[in-house]
Amino acid sequence: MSLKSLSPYLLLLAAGGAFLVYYNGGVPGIWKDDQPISSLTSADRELVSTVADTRLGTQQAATRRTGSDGPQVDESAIYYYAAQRDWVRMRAEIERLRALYPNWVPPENPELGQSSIDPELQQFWALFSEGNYPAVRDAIAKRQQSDPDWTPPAELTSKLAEAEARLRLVNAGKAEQWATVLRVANENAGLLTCANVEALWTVAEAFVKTDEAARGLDVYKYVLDNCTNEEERVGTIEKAVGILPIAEAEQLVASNTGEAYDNARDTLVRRRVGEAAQDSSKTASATDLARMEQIVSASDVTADDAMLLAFYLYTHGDPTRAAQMFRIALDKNGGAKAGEGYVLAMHALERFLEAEPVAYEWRDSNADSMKAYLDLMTAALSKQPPLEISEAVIQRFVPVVVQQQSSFGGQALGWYAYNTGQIENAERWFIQALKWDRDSEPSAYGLAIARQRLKNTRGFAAVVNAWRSRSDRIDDLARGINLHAPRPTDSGGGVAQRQEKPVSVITDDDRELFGAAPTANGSIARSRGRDNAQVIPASSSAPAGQPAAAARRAGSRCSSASSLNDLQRLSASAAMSLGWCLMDLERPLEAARAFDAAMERSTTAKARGEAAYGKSYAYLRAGLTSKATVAASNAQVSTARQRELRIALLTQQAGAAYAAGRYADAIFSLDARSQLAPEQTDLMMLRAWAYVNLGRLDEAERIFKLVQRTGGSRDAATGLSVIHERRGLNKY
Amino acid sequence: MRYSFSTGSKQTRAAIALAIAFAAALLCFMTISSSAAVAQPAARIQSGANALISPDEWQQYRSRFITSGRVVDDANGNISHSESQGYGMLLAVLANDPATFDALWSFVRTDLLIRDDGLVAWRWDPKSQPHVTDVNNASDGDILIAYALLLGADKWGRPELAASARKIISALAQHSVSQIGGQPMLMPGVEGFGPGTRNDAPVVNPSYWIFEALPLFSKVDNGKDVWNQLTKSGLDLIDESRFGPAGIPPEWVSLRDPARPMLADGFPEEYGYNALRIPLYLLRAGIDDRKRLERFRAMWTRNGRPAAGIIDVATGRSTHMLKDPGYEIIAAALSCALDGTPIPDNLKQFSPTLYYPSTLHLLGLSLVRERYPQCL
Repeated sequence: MSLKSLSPYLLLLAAGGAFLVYYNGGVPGIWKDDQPISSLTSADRELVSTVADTRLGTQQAATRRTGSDGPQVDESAIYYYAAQRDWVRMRAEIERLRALYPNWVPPENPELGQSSIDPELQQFWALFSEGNYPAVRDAIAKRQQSDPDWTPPAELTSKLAEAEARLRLVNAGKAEQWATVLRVANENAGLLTCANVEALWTVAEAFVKTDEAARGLDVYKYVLDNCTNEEERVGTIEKAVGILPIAEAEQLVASNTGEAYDNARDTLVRRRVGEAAQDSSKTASATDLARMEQIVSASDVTADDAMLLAFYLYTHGDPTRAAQMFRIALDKNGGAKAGEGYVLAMHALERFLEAEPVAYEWRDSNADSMKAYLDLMTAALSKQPPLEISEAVIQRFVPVVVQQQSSFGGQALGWYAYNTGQIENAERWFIQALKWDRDSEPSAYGLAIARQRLKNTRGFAAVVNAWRSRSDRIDDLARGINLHAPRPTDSGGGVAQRQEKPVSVITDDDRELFGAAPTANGSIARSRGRDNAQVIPASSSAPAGQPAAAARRAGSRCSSASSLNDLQRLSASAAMSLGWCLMDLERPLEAARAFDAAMERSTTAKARGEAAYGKSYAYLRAGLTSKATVAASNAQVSTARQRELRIALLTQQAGAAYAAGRYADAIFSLDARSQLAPEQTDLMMLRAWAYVNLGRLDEAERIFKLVQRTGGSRDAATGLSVIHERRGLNKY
Repeated sequence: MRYSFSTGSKQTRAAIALAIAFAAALLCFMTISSSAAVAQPAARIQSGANALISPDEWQQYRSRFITSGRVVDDANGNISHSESQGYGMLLAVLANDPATFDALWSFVRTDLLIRDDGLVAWRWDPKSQPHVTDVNNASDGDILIAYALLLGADKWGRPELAASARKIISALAQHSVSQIGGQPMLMPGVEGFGPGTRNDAPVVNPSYWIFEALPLFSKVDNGKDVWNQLTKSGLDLIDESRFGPAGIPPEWVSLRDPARPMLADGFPEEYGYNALRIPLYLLRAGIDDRKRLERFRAMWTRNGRPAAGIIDVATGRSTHMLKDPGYEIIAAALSCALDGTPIPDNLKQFSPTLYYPSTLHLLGLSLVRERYPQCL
């Protein structure tokens, strides 16, 4: 072992001098001071002896003369290291002193301690070795006060100053105060030795963080060229490849061998692939990708590695494999990040419903996961033609949309409701979406379309007045140029667009969203102009069996949110009233909850039946026909009520089937319904339009004429003209 | 050998006297009534024999609150901060204890004096890693530390302490002082109080002006005028910040409109633990103008007797009384300064309670001993 590698002090002096020169703009690469002491320049030698001399001035303890009249040699550090059993540093100190004082003879058994050594001074060193530098300062000053002639050994004060500087430097690094790090390093160049690798690492990082990567590289190289502690060397390589810019890190690893460097090369592969993953315009090299594939195919692949490759694949056009990789990451406990990535990849693949469980599971982990879930469901609900989405999936999406006040989510639910023929529900969701985002043009457009179909002329006008200046397509709607067909594709050859029974209502929502109520005429009147080539059928999705329900509508106001919070405390009859009140507010899902509570608490079979009726009616209104059926069959709903519900159900099914373009189904439902109750005009019209769309023009004509005779309707006339057009026999 | 700030050991006292005369002239020039008497600032050079804090008091304080160079705020999760370190260093000078001073200063250097701009990180938490959880500074802490360093340098003849003080002082002038409404103002911290950081910015805290330090800063900071101007801006701020029926100077003041100081948002609207130091700092700096002091005494008088308490700005009344002698001595010192009322015996005895009031207690005792020995 060379003298050099033993002696932190030589490193200290040489590197210290070098650093000063270097930092002051000297020759780069001067860190390499691994020349033996004999090759030091005369200036270096001078520095060594100067520093040594300053140490010699004042020591009182642990000093011996080298000869009868030689200089006193401060041996306290030797005893200190011996007491610490730090043999490496002890030998280094002996070598250092031997180099300085050729005539000096080292103590024979320093580990036995020195009887003459100052016991108080030993205490100082003990405090020092504990790292309690304030206590050392305290002790030194106290002794100086009590013994004015006493001067602390230079060895102690210089080591103390150095230790404080090292601590300050490292603390400044932890606080990312890089200028301080470099300043302290510059002022305490003696710090920068292998004995203080952490300080060297901090300085290197400070250089990198202050755009001096080349100097940072030099510091890391210095450690690797000069320091022998294997653990610290490995640590240095790890730090360097993590902190240096890629180019400098590559320089450091280049042409080096060994496990640590192999690991470092893998780190660089990860960094390069990771960088490319952030930026789809960058491509990772084939070699890097091959290596990443190797890494992730190992059985002990980490979630991080799988995710890294997955993100790269995702941003580089391979969502299929990305999804597989994210799945692996998920299985390796990759957590929310892996979940989010998986959802994004599956979203890109339009495999919405497959990904929904994962998206739902991780939604609350962080904002990104929530967004991924909302986006996924929004896309699923907006898909054309509509996907078959299970009720459970929608049911658990709704509260999340409400809780997140997601305008996009509300809008998507609106379109889904619209596309599945639940126009009133659609209207409600579009209103909600607009409340969450007053500037959401798509929500306003959806609302306008829904109201147009509901024939809610005043409501339609309210949207139009507020939005036509901001939205061309809403303006087009108002002027009757319905070029952008509403979202549902009319599978019946574009003939039919159903319009609901007119309900001209200005609600509180309208006043809140659109201000003062518009007049009922105005823009809307024009939408019925002769140039309107559209066929406007009429029908109703409003359940025909409503009278019983209508009778219950007390018209009273209720605030759903607060009342629902108190649901647990409500009596059966109060819950019942709340249910009907919520129905009035068109909040059927909340109403269903209230009816549910009423059912639970009702003591008589009749009351339970009433509540069950309400609940099933509420589900019906929410478009949840299967739930409605379940609710109706579960309780002792009276026969009359059963019949009422069945009628309502069939009415709704007919409307939904028609809206979805399933005209034969619509006829089937209407036929079934006619067994229970007479068909009123709006349903006759629905049947007629279904016949038109099925090409059964004779049957359609018969109904239109019947309607015309029994009171007439412009829609019936329109229907007849359409039939004549179809037959090429336009009589008008 | 004795260190002097600039002109050598023989002239030190004369130089300080000059600085004081300058400060006095400045104060007379300002809005204070002509009777303003600016005596020699507290904490001047004391020989070890008659330290302003007795060895016994200091021993009690140290053993209770100082560990490994750290002044522990025991009412606040045992954290330390630049303020506690600065108070500790100042008290160590007043107690003539260079050993403890060195320990405290060592801790400041290794753990807090790490900011790139040369100021002191304000908060150190033993329970977190890294310990500095917020690298922002607190300018009163910076001032206290620099002030203690200057006094220590002078008292013990250690120029290296003054050199360190000068660095902090010039960093303060550069980074933590802003021109607001044509006057320099002491920003509470480099981050978080200036324009753009909050709606009611700039926001300042009148109790961050440690007036006794400012003439010394002016002297060592190449005679920069900003430190003397800060004395004026601080006194103006205190005089003009009057809120509620009792005309209370609050803790945190918005100077969005410099001509109309407002209560800053989001802070308790009270004369509280921050602001109650203002009269102590005024007295310690020898700014003992009667009219100004009477305002503070009135706030802390109940039934004709001194009564320390937290005062609600809206009502002008105490929300609760402060019974610790560390607070009571401020009320007592005001009565002493204004009417020569003797300090009650129970306040002359120091017995540590919690870090903050105990610190104020020793500062108050040293103030009375130096300036108003007749009240003892």
